[in-house]
Amino acid sequence: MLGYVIKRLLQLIPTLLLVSIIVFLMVRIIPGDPITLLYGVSESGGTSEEYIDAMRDKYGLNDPLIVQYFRWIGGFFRGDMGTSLLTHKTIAKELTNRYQYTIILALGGTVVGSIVGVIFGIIAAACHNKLGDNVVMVISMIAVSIPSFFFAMLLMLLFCLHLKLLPSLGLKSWRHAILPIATLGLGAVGMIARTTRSSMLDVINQDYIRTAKAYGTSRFQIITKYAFKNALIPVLTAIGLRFGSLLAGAALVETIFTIPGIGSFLVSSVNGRDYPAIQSTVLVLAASFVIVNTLVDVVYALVDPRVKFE
Amino acid sequence: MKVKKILALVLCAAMCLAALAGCGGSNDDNSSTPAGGDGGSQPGSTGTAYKDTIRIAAASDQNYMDGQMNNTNDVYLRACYSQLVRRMPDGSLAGDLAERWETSEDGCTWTFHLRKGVKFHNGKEFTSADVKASYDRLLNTENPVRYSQLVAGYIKECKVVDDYTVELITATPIAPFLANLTHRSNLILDADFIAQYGSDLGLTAESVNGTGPYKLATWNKDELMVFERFDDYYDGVMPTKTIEINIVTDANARQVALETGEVDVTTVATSEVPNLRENPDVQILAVESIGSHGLQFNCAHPLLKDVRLRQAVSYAIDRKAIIDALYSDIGEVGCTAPVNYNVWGYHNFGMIQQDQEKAKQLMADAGYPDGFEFSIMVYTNYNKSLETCEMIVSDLAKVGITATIETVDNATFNSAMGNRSQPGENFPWGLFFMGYGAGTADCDEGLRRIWTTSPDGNNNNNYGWYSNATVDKLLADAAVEMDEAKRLDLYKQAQQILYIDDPAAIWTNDRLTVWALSSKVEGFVTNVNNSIFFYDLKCAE
Repeated sequence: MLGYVIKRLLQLIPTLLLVSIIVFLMVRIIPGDPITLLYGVSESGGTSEEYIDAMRDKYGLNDPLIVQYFRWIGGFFRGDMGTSLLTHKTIAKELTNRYQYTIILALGGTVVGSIVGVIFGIIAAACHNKLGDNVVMVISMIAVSIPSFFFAMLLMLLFCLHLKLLPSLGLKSWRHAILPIATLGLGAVGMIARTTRSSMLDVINQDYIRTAKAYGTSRFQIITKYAFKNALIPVLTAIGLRFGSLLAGAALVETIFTIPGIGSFLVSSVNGRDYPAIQSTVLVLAASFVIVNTLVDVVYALVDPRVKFE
Repeated sequence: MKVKKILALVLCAAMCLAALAGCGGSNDDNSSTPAGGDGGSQPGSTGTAYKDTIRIAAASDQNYMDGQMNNTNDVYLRACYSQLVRRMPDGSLAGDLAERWETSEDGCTWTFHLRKGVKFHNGKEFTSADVKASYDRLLNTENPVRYSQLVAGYIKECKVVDDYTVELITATPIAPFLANLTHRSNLILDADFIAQYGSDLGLTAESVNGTGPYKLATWNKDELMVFERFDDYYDGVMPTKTIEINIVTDANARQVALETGEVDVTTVATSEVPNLRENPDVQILAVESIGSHGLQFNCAHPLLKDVRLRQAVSYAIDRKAIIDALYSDIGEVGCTAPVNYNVWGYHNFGMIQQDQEKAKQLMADAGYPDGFEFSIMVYTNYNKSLETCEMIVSDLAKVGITATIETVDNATFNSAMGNRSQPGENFPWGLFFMGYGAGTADCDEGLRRIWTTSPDGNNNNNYGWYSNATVDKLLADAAVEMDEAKRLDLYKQAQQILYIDDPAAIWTNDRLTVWALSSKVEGFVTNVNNSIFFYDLKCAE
């Protein structure tokens, strides 16, 4: 298994190189550049061309693309992600400051979403085609379809403005975390519940379940002990994917609750055309996504002894 | 049997949910207890108790806390910095770091007598060396800072006479000299910090050292700014100890935070103003400004370089309908000149009336009786810019002009304005939405710096390549005309051309700056540049 993990981690290198080239070129294709944004137009007059050009020189943006690329990627692999043009802090520092918030949101959202989603999925499968199934599936359908920013606004209006129970700004205490985590959790519930349900139904129709029934094993035990364990792999995949994408930050939820996480950093970097920040952040996110998925693969083996790593 | 088990499952789920809800409930109890305790701890004090910290939610962060580089706004700069002369909330000019000043007979040498005993935040005493270093940096043409052209054009030199006297020397007498000194680029920096930080000054809390009433204690970019009261401020001690600026980009979130009491001061979407006026816990302040909005002509556009077509566009628009529909909810009025009515030198020409016949006649004269086409660029962060453009497009359609709207983001907008070396380059649009602000509240900045032809012929200041030799001459003459009546007349003539005869833009509304405050906030005062004056700013518990 160690060999497998190492192999997967080695695969990171070509993945990251490819992502780095794409993101490097992409940020330069979109119109606008960081220097004119920082030093250019204002309502009380512009800046001289010479000044703008001097600033471009200072940040190396006048160099040929190939030079800029290798300077950045070389630095990145040596552990220097560069300095943000907007915040003038090193990107490594920005990311470490912000990752704590993103981790809280991603973990919270995934855990809440998984618990509720799995319970929903099991209920739906156990009551296949009955009332319980329908109720749960309608709820999860709503959860999947409702846009997160809208749900966040609803929660905020209800709990912050009308009931005055919870704060709306930032992530300063655990009370601040409730609404954003609830929002992100809801987004996960739908997908996880549906995956759990279909995976459970596959398992429930198998012979060994019928055998267990014939032995007189209680229905509760069959579902929780025999069926659920075997239905777990697709569910884990869904949870892993969800967690991986939440690690990339939940820009909308972060913006609405004013949480300085990775998502809002990436959005403000894109708005400010902060090339080094966008590039390095996207690379870090790509890497963490691959790592999370590798971890999920490892967990497969723990859950299902049939899974072997070559 | 089956039903029972299903019931059991559902009950299990319900219990889980109830347990979760129970958690939530008990937490809320916890939270409400200390709040109640706070209320109970106050009866000892007789008068109103005030908060130590006032929280402000701002839509965007400052790019620099250095007046020579800042292109965001004036709101917080003067919390940290002072300048020789400042503009007061009533519009008058008053000495700040300069106690008094006098002009030489030829009007070219201004001598400023500096206040003694003024301290920087790090304890250093302020002297003429700091003034000299600040102006030398501003006037340096080798390594220019952002606003160099505003001042470098007319100040030749800053001379130190003694520790508390400096002279600013100009080539000719300059009429708006003192007004220009109130611009944010004239905020005085610490000479040592200029030497130490160079172009990085004002990018971090550590690199800010001013003589203003608050020092910048913490600055997490795009997140939080904390200003702590500076007890050695030369002009008294401010009533509130800490001012906290939270950057909250979402307008709804800012409004909710205000209504829940998490922040005390903020800006809101103007469409929410009528609703908020109903809320007794919120006060709305609409403050006069020196800014206007408008759509500017691209005078290098193949069609719109013809003055008749620009006039046709101008006469085709029903400005009153736009103001009534979009801007009157917060009390903004239509433009009546190419500058805001608070700017010195403003002349009231009235709102240009819609005249479709005249527009059609002008189009026929120009050889386009059946209309023509162009596109409008809109950066939608300008308040109601898109709605304004949509109304304009429908007005234009009525006289046969086909206009299409292209919305752009900030970066695209800036790059369209910046990347060009000759008129019309990389700029296909015929009209574009702009904001105008005369930071010095004088027509010299409001008109001359924006609309005159630049020496290289590539009018980078007005972004639309407007160029009119008569306007150039009138505005240049006005800048050095020391007789106020004559100067006003020169500005009137220039505005007549810019506004009507050879229109440079379609000015729509004179802006108000709208603040939403908790009803507990007292003494919130700004000047026309939106700079907050902290002397009486406090917030009841």
